[in-house]
Amino acid sequence: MQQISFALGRQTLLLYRKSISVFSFVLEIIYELKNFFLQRKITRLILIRQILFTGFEALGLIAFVAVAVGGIIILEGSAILPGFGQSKLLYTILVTVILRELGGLLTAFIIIARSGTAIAAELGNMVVNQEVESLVSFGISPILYLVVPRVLGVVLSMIALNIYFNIAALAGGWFMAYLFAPIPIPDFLYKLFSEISVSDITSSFIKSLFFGFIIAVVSSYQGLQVNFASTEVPQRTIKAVVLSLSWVIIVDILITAIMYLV
Amino acid sequence: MQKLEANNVSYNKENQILNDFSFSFDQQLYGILSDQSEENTNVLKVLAGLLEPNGGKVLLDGKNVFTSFQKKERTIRKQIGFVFQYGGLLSNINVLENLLVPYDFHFPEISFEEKKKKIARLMEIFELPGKILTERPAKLTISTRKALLFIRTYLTEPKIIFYDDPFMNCSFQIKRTILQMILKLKEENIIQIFCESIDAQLYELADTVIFLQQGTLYSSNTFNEFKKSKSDFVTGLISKLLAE
Repeated sequence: MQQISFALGRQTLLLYRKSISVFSFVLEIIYELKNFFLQRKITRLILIRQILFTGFEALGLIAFVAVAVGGIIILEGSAILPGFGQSKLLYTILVTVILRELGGLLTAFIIIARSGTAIAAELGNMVVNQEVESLVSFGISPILYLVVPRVLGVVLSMIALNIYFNIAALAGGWFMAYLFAPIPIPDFLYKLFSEISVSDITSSFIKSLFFGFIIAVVSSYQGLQVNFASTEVPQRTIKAVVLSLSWVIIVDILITAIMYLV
Repeated sequence: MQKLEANNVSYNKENQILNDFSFSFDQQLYGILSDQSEENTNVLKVLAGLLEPNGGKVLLDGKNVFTSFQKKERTIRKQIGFVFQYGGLLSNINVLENLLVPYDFHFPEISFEEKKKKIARLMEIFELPGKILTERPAKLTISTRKALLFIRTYLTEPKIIFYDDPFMNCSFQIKRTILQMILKLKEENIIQIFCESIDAQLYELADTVIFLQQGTLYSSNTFNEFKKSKSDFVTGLISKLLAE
């Protein structure tokens, strides 16, 4: 019994220390945000590259997944819903599933797979190669130089990609609907927009904002936790993926619940 | 007059790397020789304020060099340069961008053209071709990368420079240039502190050599004086260095 309580106590203490460490990491990021704009000369390039990699280079993959998902929803919906006499719900389902849920979630999953892993591995290798230490030796905060531009880059890209995903998925939905029962674009858009509410857009925006922040913070934190061995890099990268996925889903549930309650 | 002071500094990880170490570094060239040569990097990092000592303080003109970074006191860090044993160049940007990182950070007021001129001058001294400025560090030889670490440090004209194994991985020509640069800076009264594990030449040129025994200050003197020593500890360390 005593051993169990010792183990529990140790784990609680460990969790407490970890939480403090993550919390101070987040606070440091927020603190360095203002310095980021003062130090544009050295940080601008990293921000641009992060947006290029996370936002621009993922466009093809996002478009492919979005069009496919939008098409599948229409395909499944038009096969099932008429059986219940609920064909008119097709647009409601499309908007709810894409705008409120899948748009943000799938975009976040893609960003975790592409950029979250890349950030954790890159920062981990930078620690091993004394690159982070060299920044400290200049007096440059690694949070300011390495983390803040990545956080901003991922958040901005996440917001942009989410919008892009939603548009592409709705377009995919229209294309599939057109194949089965040709419907003019203005009619489709009218039915679609009559289903979209302000809260759908707000929810989608808030989610992408939080998801982007979570992915960038978790991946950067895990990357910087590497000590000296390159063998730690894949371990930390896996941890970054698992934790990012978990936190994105938890926050998604929380925001969805809050949006329904409000 | 610039002064770096170590006051009762202790640092330990698995073993005692620095033990109640006190020393005052004036504007000279210092070499550190330790019986724990594998811990030389940590000794230099503690003195440079990159690692937090477990006890004591390292002060530059009365200001704690370790906490200066925490407090974002840029003026202190601007005065300290550190040449790493290996690595240290940012791998995801090209050579020019690498050289500009500390330069832009500490001297935002200097124009890009002026900075490029200074970089070109130092590249010439190290006999490095200008075309490598657009290359990523991974494409360069280890020797060239090492030379770039020196150039990056010299660009910001620090008042104290730490060298961790300065001659390691250097070609003969780069080693010669480094030696000339160190001697030039010695004349300019820059505090230079180094640890070198493969070459005794720099110790012979140093004004003062500090001997550390299990992290404790054993003695400090010129290398030539130490050569005359009868102490087993001193002769053992010197013969080990000369044998490398």
